[in-house]
Amino acid sequence: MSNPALIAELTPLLEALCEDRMTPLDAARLERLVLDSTDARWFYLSYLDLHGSLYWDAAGVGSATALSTDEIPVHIDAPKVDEPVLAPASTMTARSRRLAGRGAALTVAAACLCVGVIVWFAASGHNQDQLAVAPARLRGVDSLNVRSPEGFNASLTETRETLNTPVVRHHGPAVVIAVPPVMTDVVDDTATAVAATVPAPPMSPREELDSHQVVSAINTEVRRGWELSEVAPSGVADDSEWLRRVSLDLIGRIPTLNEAESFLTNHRPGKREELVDRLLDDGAYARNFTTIWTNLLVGRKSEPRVDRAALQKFLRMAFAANRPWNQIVYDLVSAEGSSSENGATNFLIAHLNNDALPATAVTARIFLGQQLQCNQCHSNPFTKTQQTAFWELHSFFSQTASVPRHTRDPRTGKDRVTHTDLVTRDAGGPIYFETQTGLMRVAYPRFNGHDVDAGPETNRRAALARLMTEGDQPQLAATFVNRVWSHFFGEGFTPTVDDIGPHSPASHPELLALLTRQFVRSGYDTKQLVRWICNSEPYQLSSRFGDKNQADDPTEGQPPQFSHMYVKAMTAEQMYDSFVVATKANCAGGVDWTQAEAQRQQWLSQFVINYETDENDETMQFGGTMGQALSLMNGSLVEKALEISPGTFLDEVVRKKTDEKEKIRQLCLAVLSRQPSPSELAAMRKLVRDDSASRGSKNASKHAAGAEGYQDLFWALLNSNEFALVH
Amino acid sequence: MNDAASDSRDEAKSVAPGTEFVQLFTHHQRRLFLYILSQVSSPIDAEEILQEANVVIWSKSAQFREGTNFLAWVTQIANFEVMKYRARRKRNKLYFSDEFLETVSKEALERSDEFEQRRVALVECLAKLRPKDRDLIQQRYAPGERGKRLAAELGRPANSVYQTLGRIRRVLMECIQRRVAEESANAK
Repeated sequence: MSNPALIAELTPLLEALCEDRMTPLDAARLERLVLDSTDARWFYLSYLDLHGSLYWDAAGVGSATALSTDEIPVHIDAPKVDEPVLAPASTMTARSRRLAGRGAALTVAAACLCVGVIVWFAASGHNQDQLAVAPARLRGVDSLNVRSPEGFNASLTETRETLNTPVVRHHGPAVVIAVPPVMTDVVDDTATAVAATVPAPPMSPREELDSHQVVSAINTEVRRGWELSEVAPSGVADDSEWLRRVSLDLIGRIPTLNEAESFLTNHRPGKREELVDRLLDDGAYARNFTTIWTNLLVGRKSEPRVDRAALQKFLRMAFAANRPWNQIVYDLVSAEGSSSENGATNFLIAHLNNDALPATAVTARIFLGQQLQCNQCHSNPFTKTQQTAFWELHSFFSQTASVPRHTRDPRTGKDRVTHTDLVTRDAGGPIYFETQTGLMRVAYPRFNGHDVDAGPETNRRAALARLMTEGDQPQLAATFVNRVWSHFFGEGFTPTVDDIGPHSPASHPELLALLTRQFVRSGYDTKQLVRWICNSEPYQLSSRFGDKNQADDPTEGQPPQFSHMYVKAMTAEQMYDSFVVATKANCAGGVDWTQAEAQRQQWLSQFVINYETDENDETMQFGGTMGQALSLMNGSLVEKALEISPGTFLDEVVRKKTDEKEKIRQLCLAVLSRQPSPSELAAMRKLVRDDSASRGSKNASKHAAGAEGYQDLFWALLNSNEFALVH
Repeated sequence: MNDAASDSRDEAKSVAPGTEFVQLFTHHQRRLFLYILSQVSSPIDAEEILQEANVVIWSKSAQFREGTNFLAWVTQIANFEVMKYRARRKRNKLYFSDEFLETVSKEALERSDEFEQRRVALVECLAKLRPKDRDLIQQRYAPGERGKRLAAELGRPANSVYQTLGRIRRVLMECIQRRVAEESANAK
């Protein structure tokens, strides 16, 4: 059968079925699919056939022998399938023990059979060999002996012994041979993978790996995915593509003309690693991550009480000093005091509306990758989380309140809010919630199996912050790792970046686990995590599809294989900052920094729509598509960018005493971070000249006419898809 | 079970199962197990049902006429046992409707020969797995293992174990598919 979409839909359902984790909804869907098409029916039967065959043959240990000797064993070969003796020596003890367990479980059923057999045996009284066949084929026959009459018991045992001896001698080694270590070129776990590339002693997975070892472990896991999904990676991205990508991802903007030129003319090996280190030390890295996390924590358009600047200051300091992620989270969750003095308080101040319900939902989602918002009203059939999970977490926020502080304006005599205090009240006891059936229930503060004293003297938020962040916190770490990975690759390991759990299959569970472990081991070191990712093989790849990875397209619903770079739309911030870098539009007319920042905020604010939900959702109406960029950019910002007035980049280029080719080259490099190809250069020269010529009649000066040609070219470049996307 | 025992006593008096019956019985155990599994999806439950069906098959051996389709005969008995099992489990989760089981079991019987091919392919594909994957799949399908305790035994998060198992089964499915296709191409 060759319907990939159908297989893609059936497979997870069948996996759930085989592992007994199916929801009624899944079952209904599976039943529909199977009844509707022969293909699905056949796939269902084949999958269950595999499931059953693996079980019947105990995953190949028995069947390898059975099949290597005789495909259809019609002769007497009774104990072959089950004989623990056939297992390789190392697994034998464990297997025998489990076999014994199975025997016991089946005693009742088998005993019934035994009655039938004995009766028949008593009546016929011959043919002992054949008699042995039937019960021996049935597993767990050993435990029957007690129930059997003496004579039968003895003869059965005897028969088994005479049968056993030759079987063991004959088939014993065959098993070992039938299971050769094929595919030895693929290293089968992290420890050996690392040892293979880096000369280091084998290590346990719990040990901390150095940076190179983590990178090579990432590479191994990702390559394994390529192999399994039968895709071949695209080629390595050229320096221009990679430089632009890493700049946008790390510092939130495209490289400047100078940065591009110096990187492209640098031919030292290891220059990519060097650049990653340099960008991580750049203040723009802290600023970029601050922008990203401010938006995640309080939204782009936060409520008026939030002191955005103070939160940004807190985050900027944290990212610049590379504070451990768990400490940052601790501060955000446990923060107290003034919104202007302690920037961390603003996270919760932003979410205390609607009885602080958003505080619970957002905390669970952003830091722990758990989508609890539905649990507010009902248990979640998909994640199997209970309604109480939401309310137990929520009860940690029950003492928290925000209090606006006023001062009297001496001039107007009116009260004015200066800041907001985040305070903890001395309140105790449970909180109440209603189930779907209208029952009133109580919830006490409880997190991850830990009960916290519900008395008024406990500071519940501080307790929660400790429980969330102290020591090994895989969930906290995995959520951050997944988000950071998705920031760089455009796709996380899970379909929804902040929804991690059994219900949400990860594309690379081992890799996610490995990175999570190493991130915890590193002391929640954000820059280290970024370094691992940026230096990994998949991050070096081109965004172009290769010949053999067309199928690796997460937009088609496939789990990502990272065999090429997925194209990301620029965020509005990236777009603005890149635009400014390319054009120096903000310098037109010589404005100061405060004005420039005000312009930036004003420009950004036009894209945001808020929703007044319990999760404080908002939508960024900015897809980074060409059409959008085009319409938006014909505003005053673009006008400024295209001005030939002192301070703008276009003005600099046009005035420079360089030839036409060089001017075009610089414009192209500034906007797209790459040299134009010869054919592009030719086309651009034609454009510049034609435009200059056609407008020549209006402008007497030869110089000004030329400038208009460059204006058009610059406009075209800025409005290209290549500019608006991160690739 | 008393019924089965008394039935068998009646049958046993008349005719004892012949060599051919014993051979057929032996030979079809595996197929019958897989047939039942396609309707109940839990190997452990399927094995239990198989044992009960076996008692009935053995006791009714005299009713089987040599030369007729043995598989068709035993699957009828199995169908009845599956029904009994479903009746017992009514309150417990039952995933599928009767219509579903009927459709699926009919198809399974019609195409039973194709499964023999897949069985040979499976052995080869298992041998090609990476050792780590093969170990895991062997542990998962060790007798009596339902899969739930496996993650705890391995000290890995349950979800990651399920993911890996799913992946290995996908690999095996694809491998079997390829081999069977090659096989039939070679045959032509």
